[in-house]
Amino acid sequence: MSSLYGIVAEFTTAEDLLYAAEAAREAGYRKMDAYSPFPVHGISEVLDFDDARLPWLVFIMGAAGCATGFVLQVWTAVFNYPWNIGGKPLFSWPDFIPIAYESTILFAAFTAGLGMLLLNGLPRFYHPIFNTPRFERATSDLFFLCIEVRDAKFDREETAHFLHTHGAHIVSEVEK
Amino acid sequence: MAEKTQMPRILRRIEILSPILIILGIFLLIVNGGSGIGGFYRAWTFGWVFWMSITFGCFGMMLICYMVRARWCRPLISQFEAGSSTMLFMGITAIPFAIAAYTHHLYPWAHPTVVAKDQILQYRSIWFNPNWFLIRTFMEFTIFSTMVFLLIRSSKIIEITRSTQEASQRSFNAAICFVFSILLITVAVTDLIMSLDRHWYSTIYGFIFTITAGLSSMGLCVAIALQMRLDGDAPYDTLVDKLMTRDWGNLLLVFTMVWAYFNLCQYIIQWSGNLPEEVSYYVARNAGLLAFVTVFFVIIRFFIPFLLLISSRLKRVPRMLRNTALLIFFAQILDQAWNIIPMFHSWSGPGSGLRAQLQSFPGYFGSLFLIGGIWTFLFIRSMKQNALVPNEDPQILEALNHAHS
Repeated sequence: MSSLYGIVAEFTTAEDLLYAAEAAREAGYRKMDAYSPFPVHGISEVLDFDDARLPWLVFIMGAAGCATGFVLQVWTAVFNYPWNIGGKPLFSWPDFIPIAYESTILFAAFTAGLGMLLLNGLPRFYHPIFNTPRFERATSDLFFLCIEVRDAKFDREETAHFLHTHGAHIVSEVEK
Repeated sequence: MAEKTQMPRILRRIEILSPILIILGIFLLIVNGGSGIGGFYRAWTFGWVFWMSITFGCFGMMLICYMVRARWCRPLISQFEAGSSTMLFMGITAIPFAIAAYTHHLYPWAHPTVVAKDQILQYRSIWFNPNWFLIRTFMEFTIFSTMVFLLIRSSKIIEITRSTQEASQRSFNAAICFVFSILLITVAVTDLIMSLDRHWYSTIYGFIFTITAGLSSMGLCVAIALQMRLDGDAPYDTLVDKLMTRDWGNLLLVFTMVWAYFNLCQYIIQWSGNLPEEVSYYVARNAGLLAFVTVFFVIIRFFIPFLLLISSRLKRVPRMLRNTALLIFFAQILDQAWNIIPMFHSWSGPGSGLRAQLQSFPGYFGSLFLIGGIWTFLFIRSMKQNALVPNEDPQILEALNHAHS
């Protein structure tokens, strides 16, 4: 039991995966995760995925990017290298908007990408889920639902039976 | 079968509100009588453009729904159809613009004395002259009304026959109508609104109007749908779930961002160009007290909705999303006031001075209420005649089954 990571069910359609995940949630399972080749509408709600850290990080870094881009332009245009362009004032803030916008996107996008990797604990060279048979097809045409051992309701036989009765194509026990 | 149920409470309230708005509107227009016929035309323009934007917005959203046939469309489609069905009424209420063109009111290009002294207006007179203006306006509303009639008739056929072929044909027709409508709206907006300003022009103005219209109509229809959900009216109580509100919130966010993008494009291009004919638009809106209105307008139209709608939590709570949608809808009044009223200053026509403008204020609200009262009456009448939530489109049902399976 101690070497078991969880029980993984394989599904052939997104609808089957969503149905099984909903049923598992209603049955009281909480420690579970889903793997699919494309985003499945509604799955994060079913899995109760509500981690607000990344959106906040992106928002804060986006705002920081906006401020950085704007201040940099004010500093260069007004103080460091003042230059009369078309008779406009040195502090011509409408001109600074496009660059401030671009730096907002730059900071926010990098934070989203790197933050996602960091918060997911990546890069990671080993994960038990890859012991699941045919798991490589999670990136092409198969859908997987894993109920982990650490779930309070987990029971090797009952959980496997539950997944079998809720549309799973193949149910496998996955070792750590 | 289509889900025909008792009329929801919010629609009954709007139905009661309609005659009150009409009476109040007539009263305010009578009070505004002191500002003369010019004051009436200015007031009428404001109210008409506001409700026209909602009609155009509903029409555009209806076309999008016909094209994409998405799950989020289903609770809103009957409202978009009801809003679009006011197109003929909006065409009829555009008659004062044609009259104003002949009586030398409202439009600077229609005033011979102004044109005689203005080379730019003389150059534009090939396009802007009363006869050609009348023909164009008539054609525009005839085409729009015909498109609305044919598409809604197609929906009714699908409702009865459940024909997949007819649904596909409607999608194809809607796509063609969508592209054509964007071009036609640009022509209509250039004629009816942009030419109120003496010299100012902007080639992105039609797109700005289109996105403003889409945003506001989406705000109105989402607010009504969410109120029905909050009141527990069937079938909205079960149909509108967290996924649906999230989709609506995301759409409102996207429209708000596109609105800001288009407006900023126009602003930065015209500010950089610094040509007298172009910057006059912004100079007029950044002078005196109007500068404060401009700042307030940008905050209420962009920053508040944007910051609210990026919160995923807000999009899951119907009450909060409804309030945001209502803010977006009512901000449209300020948007159109900010957009149109300063245009009357751009030429020294009769009654275009600041005092006359202030005297006209009851009239602005009068026309807003009068046209709004009739608009909402027609909207509710159309809602009553049709199912609240049509089950007509087999592919929408397929999408729903996919989402709920």
